Amino acid sequence: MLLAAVSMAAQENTKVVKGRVLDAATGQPLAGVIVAAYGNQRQTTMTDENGCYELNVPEFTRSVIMRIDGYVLQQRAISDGKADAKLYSNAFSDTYKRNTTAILSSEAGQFENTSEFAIDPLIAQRLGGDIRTSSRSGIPGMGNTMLIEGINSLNANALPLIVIDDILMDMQYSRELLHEGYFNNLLANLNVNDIETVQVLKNGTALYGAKGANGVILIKTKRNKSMATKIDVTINGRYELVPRLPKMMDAESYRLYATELLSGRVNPSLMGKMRFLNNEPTYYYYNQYHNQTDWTDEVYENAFSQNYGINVQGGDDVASYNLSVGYSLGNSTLKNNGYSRFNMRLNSDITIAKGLDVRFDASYSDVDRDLRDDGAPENPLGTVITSPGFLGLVKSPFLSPYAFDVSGRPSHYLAEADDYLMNGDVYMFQGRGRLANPLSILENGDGKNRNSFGNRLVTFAITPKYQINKNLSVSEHFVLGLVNTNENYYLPIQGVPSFVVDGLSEETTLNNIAQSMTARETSIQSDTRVAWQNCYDAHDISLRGGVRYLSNDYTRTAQSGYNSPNDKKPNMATSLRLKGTSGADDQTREITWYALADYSFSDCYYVNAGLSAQASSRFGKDANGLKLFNTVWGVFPSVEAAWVASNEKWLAGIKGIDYLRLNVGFDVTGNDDIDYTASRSYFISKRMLGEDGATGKIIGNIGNTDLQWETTRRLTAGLESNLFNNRLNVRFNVFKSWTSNLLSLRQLAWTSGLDENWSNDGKLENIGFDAHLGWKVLAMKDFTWELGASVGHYKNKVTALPDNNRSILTDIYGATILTEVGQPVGLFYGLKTNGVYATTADAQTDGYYVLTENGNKSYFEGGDMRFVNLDDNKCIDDNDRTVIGDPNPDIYGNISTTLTYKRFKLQAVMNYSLGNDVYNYQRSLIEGGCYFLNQTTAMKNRWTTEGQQTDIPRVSYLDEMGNSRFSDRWIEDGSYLRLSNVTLSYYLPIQSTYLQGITIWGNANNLFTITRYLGSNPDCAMGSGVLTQGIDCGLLSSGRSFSLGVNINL
Amino acid sequence: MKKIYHFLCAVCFLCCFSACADMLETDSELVEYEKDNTLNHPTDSVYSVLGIINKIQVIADRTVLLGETRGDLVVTTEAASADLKRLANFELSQDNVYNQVSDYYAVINNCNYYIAHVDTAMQRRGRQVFKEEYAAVKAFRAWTYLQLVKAYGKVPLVFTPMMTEREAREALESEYSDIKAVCNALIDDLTPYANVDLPHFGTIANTDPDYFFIPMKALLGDLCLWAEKYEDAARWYHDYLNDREKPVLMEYSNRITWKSISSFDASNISDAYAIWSGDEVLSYIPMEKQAFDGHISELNNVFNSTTQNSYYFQLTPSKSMRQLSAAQIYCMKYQAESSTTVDTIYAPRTGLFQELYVGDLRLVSNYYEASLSGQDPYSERSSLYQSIYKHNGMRVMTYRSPMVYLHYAEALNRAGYPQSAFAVLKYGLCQDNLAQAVDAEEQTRAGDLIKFSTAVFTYKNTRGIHSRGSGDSDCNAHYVLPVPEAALSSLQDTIAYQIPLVEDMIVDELALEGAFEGNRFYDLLRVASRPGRDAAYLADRVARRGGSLDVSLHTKLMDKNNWFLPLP
Repeated sequence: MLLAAVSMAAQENTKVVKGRVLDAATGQPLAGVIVAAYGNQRQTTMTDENGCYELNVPEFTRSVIMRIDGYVLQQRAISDGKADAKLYSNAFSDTYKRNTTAILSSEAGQFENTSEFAIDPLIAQRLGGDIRTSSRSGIPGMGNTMLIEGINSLNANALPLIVIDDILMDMQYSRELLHEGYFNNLLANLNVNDIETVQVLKNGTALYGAKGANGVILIKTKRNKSMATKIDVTINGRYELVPRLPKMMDAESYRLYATELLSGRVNPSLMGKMRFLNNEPTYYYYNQYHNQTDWTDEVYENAFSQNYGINVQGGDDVASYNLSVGYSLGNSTLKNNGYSRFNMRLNSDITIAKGLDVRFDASYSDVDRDLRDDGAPENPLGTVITSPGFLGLVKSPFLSPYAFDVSGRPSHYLAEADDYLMNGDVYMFQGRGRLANPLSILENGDGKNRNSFGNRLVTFAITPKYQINKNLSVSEHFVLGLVNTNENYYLPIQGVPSFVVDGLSEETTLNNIAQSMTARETSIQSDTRVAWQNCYDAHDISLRGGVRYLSNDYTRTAQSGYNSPNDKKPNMATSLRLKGTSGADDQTREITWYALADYSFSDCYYVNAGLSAQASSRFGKDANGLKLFNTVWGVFPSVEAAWVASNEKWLAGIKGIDYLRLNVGFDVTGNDDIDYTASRSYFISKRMLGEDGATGKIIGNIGNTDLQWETTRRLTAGLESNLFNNRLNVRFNVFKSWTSNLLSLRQLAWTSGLDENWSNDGKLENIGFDAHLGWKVLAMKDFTWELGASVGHYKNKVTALPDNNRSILTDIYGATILTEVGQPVGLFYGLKTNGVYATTADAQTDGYYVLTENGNKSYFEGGDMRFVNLDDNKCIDDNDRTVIGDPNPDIYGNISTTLTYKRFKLQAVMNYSLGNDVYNYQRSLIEGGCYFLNQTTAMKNRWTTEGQQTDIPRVSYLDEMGNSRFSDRWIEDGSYLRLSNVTLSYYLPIQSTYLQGITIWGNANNLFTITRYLGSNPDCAMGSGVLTQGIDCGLLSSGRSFSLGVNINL
Repeated sequence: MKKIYHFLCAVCFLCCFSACADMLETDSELVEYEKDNTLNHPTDSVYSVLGIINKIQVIADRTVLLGETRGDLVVTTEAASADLKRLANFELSQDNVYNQVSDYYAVINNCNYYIAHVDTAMQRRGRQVFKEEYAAVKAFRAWTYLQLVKAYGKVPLVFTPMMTEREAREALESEYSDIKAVCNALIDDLTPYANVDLPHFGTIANTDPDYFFIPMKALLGDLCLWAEKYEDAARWYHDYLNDREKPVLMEYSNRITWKSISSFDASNISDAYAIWSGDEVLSYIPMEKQAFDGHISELNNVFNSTTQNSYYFQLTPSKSMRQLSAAQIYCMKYQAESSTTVDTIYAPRTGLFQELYVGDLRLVSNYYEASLSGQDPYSERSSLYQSIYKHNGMRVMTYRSPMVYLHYAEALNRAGYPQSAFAVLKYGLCQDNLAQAVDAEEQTRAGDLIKFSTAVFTYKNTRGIHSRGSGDSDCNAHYVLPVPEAALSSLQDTIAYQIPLVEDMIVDELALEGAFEGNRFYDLLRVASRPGRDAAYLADRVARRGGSLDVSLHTKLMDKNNWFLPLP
């Protein structure tokens, strides 16, 4: 009653605001601009033909909002009863929001005029300072890894939570697939044209409880906004050029290289028998071994892709809908890695009765792909090399892709695998190290039941909302999501050498591999929410509270087998040899209670507070949390405050400062990416004694019942300001976060008989900032120019580790990754080099040696690497390792510009990263000089003669001295500046009954990259893990691409 | 409208109060949670027993390599891995692959879990369903503990499952037991089950799984031998060998001999001495064929030239092994065609076409060495070729009958029956041999301990162990019971005089018979620990394995602490 009385009284206390609104470009008055009290749409007025307005607003109102079609929205503080404004054309980006909250976020929208299959590259381009991104691969739709506000985990997932239309997505980051180098990016199931906005939440994440520690990306898809029916048709095509590839040696250089590898290894009398070394043109095998093949031409090609889409919006006051249907067909520059997608989405809003609305959304998308293994193999002699891309680089150029007939003439039949090292009775090179004909893997591996991938994402969401009264509502958001994945893998017999696999006896030679996999994820989400909001004078309060239930079931079964009878039978069959199965059956159940409150006073002070409590089947039963209802709850509070200082009377009149907002916030969030079964003790089965054997059951894990979520506490502060007549937009945010209870493997007491189990032990910290600058350089009637730039920075530091801060070394792709207290995560830890010994005498002066497996000393000679001997014991070994690189960048971000002239619009975006190191694993193979793999032209400078000054060591098969081992030779500066996108578009309005307008656009991607990095792409990520960042294993990178498209508005 | 409102309220209300542990319950098809692992169904039980064998596979190689490499019968070759060389030189670090103590506890903990949870009370048709498996698992546990404590000297002795980190840590922090304490505890644990039959699992991988299980009484004998309970040990061994159902014979045929006296070269050897093909094998650990299937044995690659190791074997018979073998005197009964009398003649000690053929023939029968001719100097393969036939890669022996006989002899000797002990070496114990081998006084004292079933154990099928490689040792005038030069004042004194001497002969025989099988270091360790012996007994032998004394190794081994692997 009292509040109501205050409210009534307040209505009478009004004041008058006057002002004039002009066009910023022309200085001319703007008529028809809607002016309203900020945050309160009840009091509105319009400007007259002089651009003037007069508006009655409550006494406490401190700013007004102005909007009109064709211009960007503006908020204006009232100073002495006046609020004048100059509005900018909507060619410029938005700098104001209709509603303000205390939560800090960045948003991007209007993803149009693009031919991208997935939103990932556009997020990188638009939110480059807010998110650190790295490209997974250039295969269409593979997407990016994204990191927000540093790296907040070590072993668990560190990538942000993705929420699509309030659906919490399980992005399946760590799910196993059959094809090497491939990642199933679920964002590629979402059509970019369906996306309205992408928002990065930087704080205020209490709602997401133990899922919010890595930040949250909210994706909203398009909904209908008006009653008029709108139909948009988009058609575009894209032509992508083969990416930059390493320059490999030609046939004669490789022949010389191979001979060098053989010398000293093979009896000289046998060398004479080797067919590829006979250079006599009349020799029977001359043609077979004297070709000049650029194998990259055989496996890479320029690729054409296309997208088609139609979007229909419309409805009436009972129901409105947005329906979109799209079809995309993408080709990859690496042959036979195509992509196709059919997608359909219906978003509808239905009013069933007064106060009862239902939102019903359904989406279906079906992605189909051809796939082949990609990337350099972890161990070139481990098994057969299956990646056509890598084979294209390393295959001997003196061989031909096609076989020769008996008279020595080339035929149209594909050549078999390498055998040039086998003739001449050279025993040592049999079995391992032969290379397949990549063309055969591409051609004979082609087909639905051979190398294909399918992924279907289906979601149904129904959200009834009942408005009980004008303040109170109750809603339920129910979601059923399905992700079905199936994959087939087949390595053909033809053109592939018979091979051996580690673990099998050497006599077991294998001819081909067949694998298949199906996986299904069913998720059910229910979010029941009560919301209440009201305002009392200047006090605006809104409260939401509810409970979310989440159930996820993921099952996967995979089979593999070897030696199908021939390439006509690529399927899994009982007749296959060495059949194996694997699978997953992971279940998650979660309940989260939450309460969120927003409070604002007089458009000036904002507070947001939230609290959630989450229980999960993944937590141990004795975890350290709130014990209630017979289970453990993690409690996650957050509180944020914002102060719009420019709305203070003392600042409102000051020239040059149009808007100034300060934020501060503190969040406690969690990461619940805990191994599904780690908190429980369990038994596992082991197959024993071969195919006629039996199964044994053993203790597989001693459950850690204390296991819990990782906890991240984050302090954020920032400011946002519009200056100099809104010409300049500046945003600056800083954060510091502390993550504790890191999920890590801890050593178990040896009496348990197990090595380790998961525990919460270890801490790390992140500190950093992001800054954004937007400058409206020119605002003229027909011509506008806007410049933008952003920069992000983080520094992370491990502050505690399990087992008394014992450093952790992780081996991957030959690299050793160091995790050490006081250092950032992901450090490259290896040997330092200091040139190459020109002479054996030089080497003897140093007297360095390596210990062989048998403990014998092997001394360095001329042509070997001179490693830095850190422990002064002359033995070059693991004790000489030191930090040789850091994959974390110093700064990253983007630079963008937009120019408009009348209906033309030219946009360009550059992305950059500075100070990050990349481990170029692929280069360590193609410049390592230790296998029969073709090498880059740089290897022509290799050490060959005593006294030669060079920085590339001698070649040596299997590299006994370890010259090519993991060292700073392979660590490169991964800094780059890339012109990611240039788009030119033209809008043609058409006054016709059937046609509203047409936009024609063209764009170019990845036009150039300025970098010292020697590999194809410095912006590369291997996998999604924290410890694998900055490792380039030679996955396909994106090439330059050119697109042309048309959007038709009907 | 009201209805909807009420419905929604009800949903909220329900959610409020059902948010308990039940809603968070999950299951898995891929692993079996502890709560579901009930062990009350025969198949559960079989799977668990096989699981234990799976874990035993992990330590199988170590049971051989720890015992053999540190002994004096082999030396490491240049090609040996650094870890094996360090093991041979008693330079053991935490990260040595042969020093992973948790692997033993993996077996023990799986056994502990089984023993604690199997439904022993469950009966079908009046018979306890899991009685045999229960006993077999206890035997596995005891055998593993014995391997563990022999290697590490003092270890935590835990009989309850450790299924939490806390339980495992508590075990780690408990008081450690030494060899005797461990053996005594295990003797108490096993004795009630000594007469339980082995489980019968039918056929697995075309083999008889009966061999996978540890012979309980032989194990009890070992435990008593280590616990210095010699009378008990002899009793268990005797009962095991003389088992009514499954007596263990020392067949005459199963030995290696010279066929005639016409020539003493390779062509004239009758080589029936193949330990895997006869019925000497009592039990073994089945290993996987290839790593793809699980745990494989590397013993074949360590001892033998194989294509996998490019012929580079890692262990080779030591000089002292060769000397010991050559020092034996081969004796043969010979009856010339024209003669009616049987002569005792001795094989020549010189002029044989290879050194290895001098003395005992077991080494030459088990071991083959050759230089490969025509090897390409560029070849990856070694030009030396070696085969030691005791390792075939697929099975790792746990018990073999001649070794049980020798341990029986060792126990008899220390129990105060040196004549009987020596009889096991020279004649073989059976009623037919007894009179000639053991005097009446000792026969009376030993009583049943040296009596074997007359129906089964006959002169024909019973031979002394020494005869297996040194010919007809029953006739060998150089192979005799040590007798004091001058008669001693009492029988006790004579026995006390004989015991260490007979023990030395047994230790030699253990080497001749059991070389390369992983017993040597432990045999020396066991004997050297006995009253009247000292560290030098072991140190002298091991430090001289290369032919000359390795002084630093000798010094190291004079400290008994260095006999054991360091615990983490």
